[in-house]
Amino acid sequence: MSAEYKYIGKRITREDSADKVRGFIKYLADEPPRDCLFGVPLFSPHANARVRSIDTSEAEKIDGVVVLTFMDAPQVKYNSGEWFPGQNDFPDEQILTSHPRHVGDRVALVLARDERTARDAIKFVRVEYELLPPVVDLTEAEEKSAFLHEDGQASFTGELGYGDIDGAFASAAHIESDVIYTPKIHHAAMETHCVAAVPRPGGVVEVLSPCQILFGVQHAVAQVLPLPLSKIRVIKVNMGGTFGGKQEVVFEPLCAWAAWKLKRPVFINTNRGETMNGTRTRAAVLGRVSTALDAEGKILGRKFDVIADAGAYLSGTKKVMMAMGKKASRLYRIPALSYSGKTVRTSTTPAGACRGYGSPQIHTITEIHTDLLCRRLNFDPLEFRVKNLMHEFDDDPAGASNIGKARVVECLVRGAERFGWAELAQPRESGGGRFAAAAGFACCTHGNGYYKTIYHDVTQMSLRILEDGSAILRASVNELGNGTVTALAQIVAETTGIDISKITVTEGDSHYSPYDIGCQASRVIYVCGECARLVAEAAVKLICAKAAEIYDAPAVMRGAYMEIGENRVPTGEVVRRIMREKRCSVEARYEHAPESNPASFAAHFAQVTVDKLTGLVRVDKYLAAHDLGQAINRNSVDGQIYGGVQMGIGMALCEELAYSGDGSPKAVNFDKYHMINAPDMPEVDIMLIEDFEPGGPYGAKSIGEIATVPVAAAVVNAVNRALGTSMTELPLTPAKIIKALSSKY
Amino acid sequence: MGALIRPMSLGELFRVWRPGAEFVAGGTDWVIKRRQSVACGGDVIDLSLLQELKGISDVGEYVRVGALESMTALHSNALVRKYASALADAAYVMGSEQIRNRATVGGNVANSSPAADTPAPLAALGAEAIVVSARGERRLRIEEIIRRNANSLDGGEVIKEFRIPKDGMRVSAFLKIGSRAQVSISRINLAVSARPDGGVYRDARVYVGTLGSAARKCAEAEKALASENFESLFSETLVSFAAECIPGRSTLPYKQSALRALACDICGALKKRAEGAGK
Repeated sequence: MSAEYKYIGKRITREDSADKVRGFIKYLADEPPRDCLFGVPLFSPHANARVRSIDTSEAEKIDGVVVLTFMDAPQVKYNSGEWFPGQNDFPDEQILTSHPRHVGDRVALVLARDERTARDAIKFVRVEYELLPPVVDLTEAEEKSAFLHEDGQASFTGELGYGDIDGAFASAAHIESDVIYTPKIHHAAMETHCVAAVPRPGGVVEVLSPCQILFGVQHAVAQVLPLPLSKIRVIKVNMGGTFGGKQEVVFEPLCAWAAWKLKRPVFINTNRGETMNGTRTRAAVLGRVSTALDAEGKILGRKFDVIADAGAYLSGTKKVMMAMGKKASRLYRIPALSYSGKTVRTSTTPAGACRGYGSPQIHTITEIHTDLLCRRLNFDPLEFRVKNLMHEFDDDPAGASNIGKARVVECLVRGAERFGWAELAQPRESGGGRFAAAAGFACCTHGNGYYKTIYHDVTQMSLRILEDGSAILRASVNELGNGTVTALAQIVAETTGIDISKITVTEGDSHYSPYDIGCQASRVIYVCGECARLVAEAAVKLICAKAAEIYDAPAVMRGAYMEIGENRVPTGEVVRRIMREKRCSVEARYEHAPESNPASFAAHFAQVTVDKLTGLVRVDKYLAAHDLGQAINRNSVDGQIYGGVQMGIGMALCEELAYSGDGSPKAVNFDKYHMINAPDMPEVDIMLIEDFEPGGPYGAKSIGEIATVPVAAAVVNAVNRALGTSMTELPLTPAKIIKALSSKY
Repeated sequence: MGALIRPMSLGELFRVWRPGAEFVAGGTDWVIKRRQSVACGGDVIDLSLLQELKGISDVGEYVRVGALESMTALHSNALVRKYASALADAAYVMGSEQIRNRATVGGNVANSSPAADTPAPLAALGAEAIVVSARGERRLRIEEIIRRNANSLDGGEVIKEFRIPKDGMRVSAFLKIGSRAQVSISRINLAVSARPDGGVYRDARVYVGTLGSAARKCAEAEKALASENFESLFSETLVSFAAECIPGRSTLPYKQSALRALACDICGALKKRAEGAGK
């Protein structure tokens, strides 16, 4: 299908790649604001403690050092995951606190002319803590909640469901249950967290942040500063990766408040350990799933009982927990479902958004469970899924948006064929029984925005064709490093015919760019991309209409030139005449609020070899089959999938933020937090099913988040098949594998 | 912070050294360890310009390996590969390419991390370390230097070189298990040097790393290698040895299983080398 396009689906080199490779692109930490104070938060070394006293006098004797403590700070509580006024996410966090609730919680902010002085000065701030009991285990969090928070909230619950669940379980031929644990994970973006704030004339505070939700940052800052939204200018700066870690605010309100209070520019930067333990994580989840089946293996109903660990503050983790439930009805045809979720708080680093927003957790739980139930009931795992998967244009029985042109069965069936599932499925031993190999797979789904959820989904853009025939797309997007800007430029180039090198796409600046709800919820291609297409279409229509009036002949846009009657006129010349003679610029504006939110789908296949003595797992072969409607930039799509597979293997095998009994984190750097590195990465084969999703630009839908969603389950299923084990506590570290094998024999 | 001193010779080093001064060679451990605290420390003495600590050469009965030689220099050197293949193995799998280009063998031993990769093979090869200070030279066995996370050297003493006996009858090997295939710290490692003799191994030296210290001699495993059908005996002696070294430690069951893997793999590696040497 993409053959007829000039830009869509092609491998377009991102416009910033050469500069990035040469180190020419500056990040915020490369260029902090002029004359700024460097702020270093004083992070609590204790998991749960009350500050008895804090003495800053010695630190403040150092030249130029200023210390702001919780006593100076506004006492207002906010929720870092709330991105729009009135979302009513429970507020329990403060910019600085006298009751730090995790190692890495913020007690004070030490500021100096340079970072080294500030870090040295921190050592002279004397803090006396009264230690309180740590709350580390999520299963004990409710009963211990009063140690951690005074708000009386032991947990935050949510229920979803539809259909006759009791009837489904009463009439079932089989009922199968599993309990599965998915770990707390560090996002591991290359750029650690940083933010700057600059007071400007006119009572404006300017916040420079490598963020995902421009107007969400604005809202968060307005929670702690007595300023109208219009006086808070948020500028998205170059970002060195996020994976959801920078979706919620962490240091933005603190930094803006300090700059506003001191009337000085303030820059806060963190090192790896501070980002690992002082920002956000993927939420750990313990989930029980029970499935009622008829004798033939048709799903009659499914029940979930889920606990999500929010860490020290609720953050966005209640939303994540609810998002998990909402995904549960969109992969398989499940006539009756009940989802009972609970978000608890522990004295660990707050959780929140992380690539997939609950999807990796829920699909890991259901896909491991599906394999285990198939084994126990002697169903073929592939046939079982084909029998139960959703079909195109099925409605979501839970009431969310129709799933659209679902191609999940194709992903699975064609993927299985390409991967060689039939040959690789059975476990094989080698090395005299020491090595066991087998394949596994998993299916999943993810969304495309917020349509038909409780959140509004809207974006606005303008496209101006300039006097030389070039174009600028004014958008409020946040480039997260994944190629958003280039993808939008491709869409504009395809629609207008203007050469892509002559198209500029802006990122967000809340003073100058139009409204957008942020780069979240896998909505950017489907919603913002479609808006780019629509605004480009409108701009073409505008220039053609005006040209037809001036030249008195029908006009067609051909990119660099226009066909007007019998003539070919350079586009720039047409624009100039329109501006002079019609006294108007050629700028179209479009506001797009989608009327659909289809599902993206994937099936991933992994073949693994397990060393039964070392417990090390090698992923030998991998296939990612994706239903993404239409690739926009094939380079970026491949990149998203490679990275998603890398993250997912980590979730399956080695990544976990673990804590000692006293609540101290076991890892403060990558020496103790292991990710899969290049030598351990398999070759990843990619199969795209491109079948034009209605409502998306050129039929495109999301890929960035879903790329990591099925990976962990595919790998775990392969390991369990290879070993004949039923391991359900991720990650499957070598020690856990050896333990499982020793208890098996 | 005190001064950064970069002596050009051992004589100069001895003159400038003061108690409290710290030595840095490749810096791959030191920089990480001291990143936060160097400002409060004493003098830092950079050893990297000392020519007396460099070079790999054949000195008749032994191979001399300067303490400043990098992992990359070790594993790519023909003498080391011929007479000290266990050391070449360890140097080849330590850290990443960048680390191997900087990290020195003297620094790896002196840093004495229980998870260090070169002490076990050096010990298995029967290497001696020559340590020097203003008071003169001493010859020490590797185990005499290594303590738990610290070395036993006197103040102002540095490792100058290692002397690895040239024994053409011996084969040696080193293997480790970390959290991943490459760029990984040892969870357990094993070094063996022995004389192959008709399918068994005589005069074996077997050292295990990470069991509390970077090089612990396992005498039972050494004996086991000399017996017929030694493979499972060798493995079981190592497993019992681990239980003696770190009794009750939560990591013990895993390390025991991993030692079985190392025992099996190192027998394979030794056999291959013995056959190669026989040709």
